[in-house]
Amino acid sequence: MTLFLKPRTIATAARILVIDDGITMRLFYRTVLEAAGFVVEEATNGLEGYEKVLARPFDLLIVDINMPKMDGLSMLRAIRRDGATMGVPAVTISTESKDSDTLKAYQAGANYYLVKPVTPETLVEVAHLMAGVPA
Amino acid sequence: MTTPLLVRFVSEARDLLQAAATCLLRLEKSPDDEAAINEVFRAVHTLKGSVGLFDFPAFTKLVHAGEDLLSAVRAGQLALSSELVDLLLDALDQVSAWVDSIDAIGALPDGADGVSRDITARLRTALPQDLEAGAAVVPLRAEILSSIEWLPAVPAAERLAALRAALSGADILALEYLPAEDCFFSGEDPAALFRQVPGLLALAMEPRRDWPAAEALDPYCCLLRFRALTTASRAEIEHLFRYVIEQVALTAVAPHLLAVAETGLSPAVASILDGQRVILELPAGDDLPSRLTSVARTVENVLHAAGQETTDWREAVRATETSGDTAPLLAVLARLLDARPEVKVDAAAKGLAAAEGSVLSSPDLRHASRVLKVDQAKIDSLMNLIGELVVSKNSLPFLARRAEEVYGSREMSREIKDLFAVVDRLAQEMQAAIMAVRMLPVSEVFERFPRLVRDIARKLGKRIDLVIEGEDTAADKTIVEMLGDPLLHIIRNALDHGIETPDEREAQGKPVEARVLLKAFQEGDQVVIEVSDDGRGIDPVKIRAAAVAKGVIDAERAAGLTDQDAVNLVFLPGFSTAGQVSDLSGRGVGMDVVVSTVEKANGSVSLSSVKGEGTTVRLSLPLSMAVTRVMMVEAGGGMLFGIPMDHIAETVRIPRDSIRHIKQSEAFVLRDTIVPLLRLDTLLGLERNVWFGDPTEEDAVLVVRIGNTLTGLVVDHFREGMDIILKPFDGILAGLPNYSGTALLGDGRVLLVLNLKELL
Amino acid sequence: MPIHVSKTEVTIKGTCTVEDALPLLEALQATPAARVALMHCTHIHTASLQVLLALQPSIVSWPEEAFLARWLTPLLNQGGR
Repeated sequence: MTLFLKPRTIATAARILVIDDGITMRLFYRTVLEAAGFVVEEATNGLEGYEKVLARPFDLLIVDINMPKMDGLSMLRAIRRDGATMGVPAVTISTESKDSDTLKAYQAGANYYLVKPVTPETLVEVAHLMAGVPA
Repeated sequence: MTTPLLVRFVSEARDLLQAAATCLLRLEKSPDDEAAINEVFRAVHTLKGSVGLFDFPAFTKLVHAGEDLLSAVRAGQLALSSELVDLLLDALDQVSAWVDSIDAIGALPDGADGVSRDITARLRTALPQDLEAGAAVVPLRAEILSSIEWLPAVPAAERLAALRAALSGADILALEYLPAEDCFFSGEDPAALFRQVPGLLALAMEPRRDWPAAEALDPYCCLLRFRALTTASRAEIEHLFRYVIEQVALTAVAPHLLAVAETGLSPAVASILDGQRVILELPAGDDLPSRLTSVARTVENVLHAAGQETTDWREAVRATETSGDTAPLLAVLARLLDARPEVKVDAAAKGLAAAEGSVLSSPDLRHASRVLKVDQAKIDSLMNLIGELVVSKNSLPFLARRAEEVYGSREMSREIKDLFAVVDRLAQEMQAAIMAVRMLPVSEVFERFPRLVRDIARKLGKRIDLVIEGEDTAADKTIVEMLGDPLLHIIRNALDHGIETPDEREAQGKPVEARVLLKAFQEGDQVVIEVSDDGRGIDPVKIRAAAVAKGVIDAERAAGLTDQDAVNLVFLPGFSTAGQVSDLSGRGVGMDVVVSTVEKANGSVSLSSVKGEGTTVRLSLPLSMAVTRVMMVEAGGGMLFGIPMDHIAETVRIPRDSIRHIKQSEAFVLRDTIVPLLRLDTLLGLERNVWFGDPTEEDAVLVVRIGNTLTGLVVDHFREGMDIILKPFDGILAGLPNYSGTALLGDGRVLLVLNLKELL
Repeated sequence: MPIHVSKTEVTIKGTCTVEDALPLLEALQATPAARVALMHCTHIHTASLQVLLALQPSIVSWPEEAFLARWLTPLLNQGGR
């Protein structure tokens, strides 16, 4: 089995892809994360997110679960199936807060699970950690 | 008060509410429409997510209750009745009102809590019983309270679990229960209560003081003390412990209090690492490689970002790489999570990491290609600026002429003309671009009709199927926006007067459910909207009689009208066909208002009707009204006026002595037709030029066409034609009927544009 | 009776009620080295529970029932006698 540790390219600011069908949520993520020095791109549904992930590497995915066209978990499964993209850290953010939801997200390929509403502080801290950028 | 985020929220919320309402109506019609239920659910779900960013608990609770209800409908646990749709629509209306309030004052109105409670309760009662209990808890942000002294004694693993729950949004409660020593004699079993505590994260059962020696132990004296952490709500706990509540202390736990200090890891680090442990322990299939890869990278990133040593982790990853066994990874994670404080990283290394971090986080350029939601006012102001550019550009030819004629430089004149060609092209492209931006689909106005038709139909006891076609047809925003009121009126008319009651329809052998078709399509440079119904149609005989009775027209003329012309009498001011003024479409406002509104936007209205078969009203409007071509004329001794080119048939010069005087009015003969002649000066109340009787003098006459009538308009001088961006009057000037607006000229003067229809 | 006492073992099965606390205490007092089998125990009344917690006997088999397994086991696990 050959795996993992590609050294993270440390040349530029970390790039985060936000996949959420809520326009307010996207603005929230963008505002908070850009202020913390991240480069933020947006996708409005899982399909668009999947295409963007295939097109270029990201350091972290922030994924909503319930979305049109392709939901967040299906998108993660698709991303995890692809050799080039399978390792990208992903955090799902959803309004569901049951343990079973967390496990479902982990099962689909999420690395962490946050529940809406997320405070800006939590979001930034988690983004720094998971994207591997010291605050 | 209002932040960009709040502004975005308001606009998104309105879109979502509209979408939800539309889908609800679709669902009511066809309850099995899976796409519709998914869409309405998603709209409400997204709204719930967004509102969570702000502090509007009443709003959040109501939306949450609505979502639960829709979730039950989606899962097939609940049938969507008309009553349920009403209930949900009411809730959406309430939320809409709150959105308006947020838009206006940045907050919910007073009393929103009570309203939210009422509607939420109504929504909850509609829920199936077994779902109701679980749904009642709304996760709101935990209140931060003082520390709980026994918290550090909770085992690290359990505190971590609580921390993970807290970081993912759950409210953690600390519960301390000190049962009475004689509680066993009153039949209590304190430990048993904890079996029923939902979301139990930690439970310690300890003696409240040291145990006595084995011989001295009295098993019927309760010496235990219970301490627990739970995600259960305060209300759930209070209910469960209601008989012993005075022996229970409940405290909300702030997440930071759960931090496992002795590991030396921050709560978030610990929580994320713990997440990776959980992921590695999940049963895995062929997704194992991807899971390992993403976990490896995540842990590496987290450790790197937290300034922790990564050597151990990398070694474990390599070991797993060769063996495929996750044990080494789990071992490292366990060590990290349970480790006692150890200074692994010296200060120098930390400083280095920090320095590296600051370089890393320097902001990069943003990447574009995303959809912007832009305030309409900004588009409008851009539009105005482009309009002014178009006008300024128009002054360049004058400058070229001056260069040649006044300064005698033909070369300079040519250069200016070349420059003009470039600027002209750019201005035209900008105009086309901004006009494309302003195009809106007519669905913007159509969307509200399904709801409206449904409500009116219910009120009237009629059954109506509203069919919408061509809602993607686009036209300029001004056109689309002005469509709303006329369409509203036409549709109300159709429902109120056109459609028969179900009984009448049945008697006539028509389907009981009437059909109203709202259809949009493009025809040349016009957008056409048709509203057709299959109702009783308009009876020309009745219309003639009504028109005569109302004194709109005299009996003789009425008799002379063709049936089609008679039908068109409904467009005359003050006409209404209903026997009595109805609550819905009456109020003395008739089709004449529709006509004048549409004509103001340079459109036209026509109506055709067959008695017993139905009526079709057709609105025809220009796709774009952004640029108006006008001819400038001088009147009143040097004042400039613009006259829309659409109305101008031709310009002629007539010798003064060939003007005929008929009583008080004037007329002239244009190719064998007598054309009435009016003077702009007189019409506008300006001072009139005096004629001294020289027969060689000519009047400049603009021949204009209004409807099918030609009229001659005497002006002082003709000037050039030009493209202008018409700005309608607003404020008190909006009442001036003779003018349709103003435009700014290249030299800074303001051009008044005449509204000939009103003027003549 | 959910409690069965042999020479060296106390077996607790099913639901252990408040009445079982005294017999349990007496059994453990009589044979301090007795080991306790909890595998088939589904509930222990608090009174009996505190007997186990106070005396910390050696445990020969752990409860299978989820609540006890999760919350009682660690409290008895810490050493025994």
